[in-house]
This record gives sequence, C-alpha cells and structure tokens, in this order.
Amino acid sequence: MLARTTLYDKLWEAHCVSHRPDHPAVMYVDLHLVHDGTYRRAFEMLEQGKLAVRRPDLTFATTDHCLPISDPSRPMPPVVTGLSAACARHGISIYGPEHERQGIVHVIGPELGLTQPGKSVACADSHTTTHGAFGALAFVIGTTQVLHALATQCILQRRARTMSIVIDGALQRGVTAKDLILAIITRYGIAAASGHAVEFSGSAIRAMGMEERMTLCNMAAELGARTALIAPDDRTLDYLHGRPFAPKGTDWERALARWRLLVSGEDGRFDSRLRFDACEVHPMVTWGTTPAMGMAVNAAIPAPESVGAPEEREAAEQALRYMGLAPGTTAQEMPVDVVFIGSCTNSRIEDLRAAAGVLRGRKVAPGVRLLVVPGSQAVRRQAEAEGLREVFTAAGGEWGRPGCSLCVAMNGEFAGARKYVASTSNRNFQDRQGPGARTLLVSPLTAAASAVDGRIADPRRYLAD
Amino acid sequence: MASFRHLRSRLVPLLGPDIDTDQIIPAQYVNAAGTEALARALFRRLRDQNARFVLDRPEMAGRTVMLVGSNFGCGSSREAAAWALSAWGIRALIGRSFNATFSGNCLQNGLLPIAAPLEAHGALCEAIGAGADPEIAIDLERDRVEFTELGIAFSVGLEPFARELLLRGMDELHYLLDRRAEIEAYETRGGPLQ
Repeated sequence: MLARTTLYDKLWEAHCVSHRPDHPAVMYVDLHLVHDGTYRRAFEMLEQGKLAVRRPDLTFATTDHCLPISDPSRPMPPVVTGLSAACARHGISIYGPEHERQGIVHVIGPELGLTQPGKSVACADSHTTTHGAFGALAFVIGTTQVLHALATQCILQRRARTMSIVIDGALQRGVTAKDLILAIITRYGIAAASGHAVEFSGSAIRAMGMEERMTLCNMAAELGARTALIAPDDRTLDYLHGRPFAPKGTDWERALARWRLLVSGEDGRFDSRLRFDACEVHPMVTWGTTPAMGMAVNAAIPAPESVGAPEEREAAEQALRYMGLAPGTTAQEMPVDVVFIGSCTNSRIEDLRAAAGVLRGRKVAPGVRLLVVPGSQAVRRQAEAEGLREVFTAAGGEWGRPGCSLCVAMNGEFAGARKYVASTSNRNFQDRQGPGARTLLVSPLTAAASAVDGRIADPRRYLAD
Repeated sequence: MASFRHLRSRLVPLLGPDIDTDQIIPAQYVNAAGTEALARALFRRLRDQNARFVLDRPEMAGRTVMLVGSNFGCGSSREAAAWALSAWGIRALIGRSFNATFSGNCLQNGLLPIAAPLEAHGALCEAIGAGADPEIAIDLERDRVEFTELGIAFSVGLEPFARELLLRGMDELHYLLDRRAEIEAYETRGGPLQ
C-alpha cells in the first residue's frame, strides 16, 4: 500500500490537522512567508478583529514586490514601511529594504534554510510553488488566507489531484531549466496541470542543481499547478547544510533521517502522468502573451491557423497583434529593447553566473537597456564578491537593488509601451511589465546573448569552449 | 460577509480564454484602498486602451453577473482581482473553468464562480454572439442557474461547505478559530515530519 503513496500524499497527511467529511481539510502551516505585495488587508482584518498572531516564530516577512529598483532614491512606498510597522507590532521577523537577509520571498526562504524538506510553506504569491523544489508542501494562498494563517497557523485546503512529470535525458549545453519548463508549457499549455500537485522526477531532475530545480518548480505555476514537488536528495541536503535556519548538530542528523523518507512510492498512484525528453529541448523564447506561446530560438513564429481550437487561434492572433509580430518571423529576427535579468524565477547566483559568462568582455548592443536585479542581498553580495557586478556594468548594464522589479512592475517602474523586453521572469501577459510592454520570456543565458545582439540570440554561439 | 441566496441580472460578457489577474487588476493597483478605487482599477489597462470596453458601456451599469471563458483568473494569486470585481458590482461569474486560487479568493469574498457545463456555456456564448441579452437567475438554495429565455439551466455545483458559508454569510476564519483545540493538539504532538 505504502508503495502507492506519493510524496504529496505523505506531506498532505502529515500536515492535516483535521478533516471532516464534506469539509475542506484544516492544514497546518510550518512556515508562513509574508511580503509587501499582499499583506495589508490581512493585518487590517487581524487588528480589527482584535486577534493575535498565533505563531510569530513561524512567520517571516520580507520586502520585495514594491521596492523602487532603478531609482533607489525614490521614497519607500507606504506598503513597504507599513509592513515593517505591522511586523514590529506583532513580533514577526521582518527583512526590510536594507536588511542583510532581504530579498525576493522565494529566493530568501531557501537561501536562509527556512524552506526545508517536509515543511508546509504558505505564501500569498503564485510562485510559492518554488519551495516544492526542496520537497516542501507549498501552499499558494490569497490575502484572506494570510489572515487565517496569521490568526490560526492553519488554512483550509482541498486536496489536489496529483500529476507525475518524468523528465529523462540530459539537457544540451546552453539549455537550462528555464528552457525546459518553457518547452513543457509550450507543448502542454498553461492549464495542463490545473488543480494538480505536480511532482517532477527523472534523470534530468536528479542532474539539476537546486537553483535549476527552483526555476522548474517556480514555473510549474505557469502550467496551472497548485503546487510542485521534487523529492529531496543529496543535492538538496548539500544546499541546506549550514544555512542559518537549517537544523544543526544532532538535529541535522535526525532531520536527514526524516527527509530521506520523502519520496513517492515506486508504484505511486498519480491521477495523471506526463513524460518529457530533456535531450530535445533547445533554448526557448516566447512570442505571445502566455508562457505557452513559445518556440525554440532556432524556430519561427507559428501561423495561428496551425493552432488547434478556434478560441486559441483567435487568442494567438490577438497576441501577435499586441506583440507587433508576424507569423513566420524567426526568433532571431525578434528585436530587443530591454533585457531584464532577475525575478523569483532566475535571479539566483547560478543565474547571474550564467549571464555573466556570456557578457564577460562583451558590450550590450547600442540602444539596448540591460537591467540586472539580484534576487536577494546575499546574492548581491556574492555576485559582487565574484566580480559579476563589474561584468554587467562594464558591458553597459544597470545593477539594481534586490527585489521583484520589472517582473511584476508593481513598483511603478515600467518598460515602455511597445518595447520588447527579453526577460528571465515568468509571465509575458499583456501589459504585465507596463502598459503596452512586450515580454519575451527567456533563460538568463539567452537574455545575456540577446543583450549583446540587440535581437533574440541563440546563447550557444556565445558559450566559451 | 453578506449572505448569498439568489440574484437576477443580465450578463456582462467578457469572453476569450486565459484572462489573467494582471488584466483583471494591474499590479500597481493591487493595494488600492476603498471600493471606488478598486472598481476603477478593474480591467484598467483594457479600459484605457478601448473606450468601448464592455464594462464602460452604459447598458452594463448595475449588472452583477459576468460571463467569461476558460481558465479565467489564471496567473498571479492576487486577491485584489476578486476585490475589484466585487467593488465594480460583480457577484457571480459564469465561466467554462477558473483558476483554482482565483476561485478560492472569490469565495472568500462572497463572489460566486460557477463553472458551466461545456454545452450550456457554448450555447450561451453563441446566443450572446448573436445579439441576445438574456437574464440569468441564480438560486443558491435550490442549487440552480437558469436562463429562462434561452431554455438553459444547470446546477451551481458548489461543494457543500462553500455553499453553506455563502448561504449563511459566514467566512472561513470563524470555522478555523473554532478548531482551536484540534490545532493545539496538533502542535503538542508535533507535526510528524518536523
């Protein structure tokens, strides 16, 4: 029987406080991550109801969504200062704009060792799926549920259906986890995993470092997944060992024993299964207004007539109008005005190293703006210590303060109308990066190569031997 | 939260697949405070780009049900999408399918997302496309959605717990606060994986 239990089932059952028939389950939150984008109404309701934060010790806050990036002299918006004040009132640890642990919520959780295998992690952000890369049960919640988690340390949840995505084969050189997940989304669509908990497994996953696994789980949100999971292995443990909040000494040994049990049974019963071959993936770029409107960098934009249902065809036509692109245009003919390297998808040290590897000794094409925004203060310090900042600025790029920046454009900083933005972020929705902005989702390698060419480029041309 | 029992309205049609929450409310307005500001933020970019956008047509004023396509509310989990729809006056959505986080957020705010069966949804879209302007009657107590003029009817299809909360105008917080003894017991025995 146990062999048919999936990792999701194990995590679900371990966090289920109670479950009445015909009711959603009461699920315990081991780690509640709060950020400046979605907290305000929750704290207002908490205080209006004269409720206390049940477990401030399990609640951590950071500022990321609304920080000024390009012009750090701009005053902090009230939602940023308000979060610090709210956390102070309730005894919650807050990593404010200048704190050494500040950063994008999905970057700092893992980086500080707060995110651990077997924990449940709730955060009012759709990319909370990122934490599943550690075998943690990630809950994407809304602001009302932030209130619930603050007041009771629990949320109500319906059990998700389960989906196994097995990815075998090795990624080619110059092809990243970002390209892989874009290829999967392009093939299966943005609702392919709707309502599902997705578990990624297979030889390609085992070969990935934690940063790449986080990129993959992060973008499972763009498959519609409610949560994503990767079973922890030696790489997970190596990553966590010695992190500030990771267990220490004998606690670490005990934790290892528990974490090693966090795998799906050999005959794990999934509601659906997909298989994907990593060998076939090329560097990817999107041409439209959903992450599923993608193609390889050596391909051309497909004709809308070739798309299946009439509804989808119409959506593709509308996307092309918005993007100012035509069917048959090759990826490498697509112009680039802005290059954004950052976001919870691709702003970790490995991402910056990859981009810097392409940009070292090269210049950004005339007229192209390159903005590099490290995911956290720790990533910023590490990158500066390694000389990566120098590489980006010498190439003509800007080096921003850690935050969500141009991924969500919630800070009032936009790419201009009709500007093409080669972006390592996760969403190319219409107007997402500013009114009229045209997002082309790419990997950090492709972003860097495109900055040099001033057009979408195949990064494999720029890789050192 | 006000209780939801029944309502009658004509539809605000906003068809097309995969309408994401960035379109429903752009990120810069997510922290807008007050009903008026949230209502103004609803579909702000699309309204700015098109003076004839459906929400701003005079005949749409006062309507409380929106007809949408598939995978409505995908993308960002921002609850402000539900707040903005409510602020404009929308109390129910009829669609082919909804993003799970989005529909959860709607229910937390007394906004009812109803997934219509394929055939009924197709017939509705076709009728609207042909110029019909039918009235919808939603009766949550009887679990019934009816378009009498079109001869279309289906069930609301909400799970019993969510339906009960809406009918009674209750929110999940009170249910959770009532589980205090269970939560304490869980904390005392320690989560098995921690």
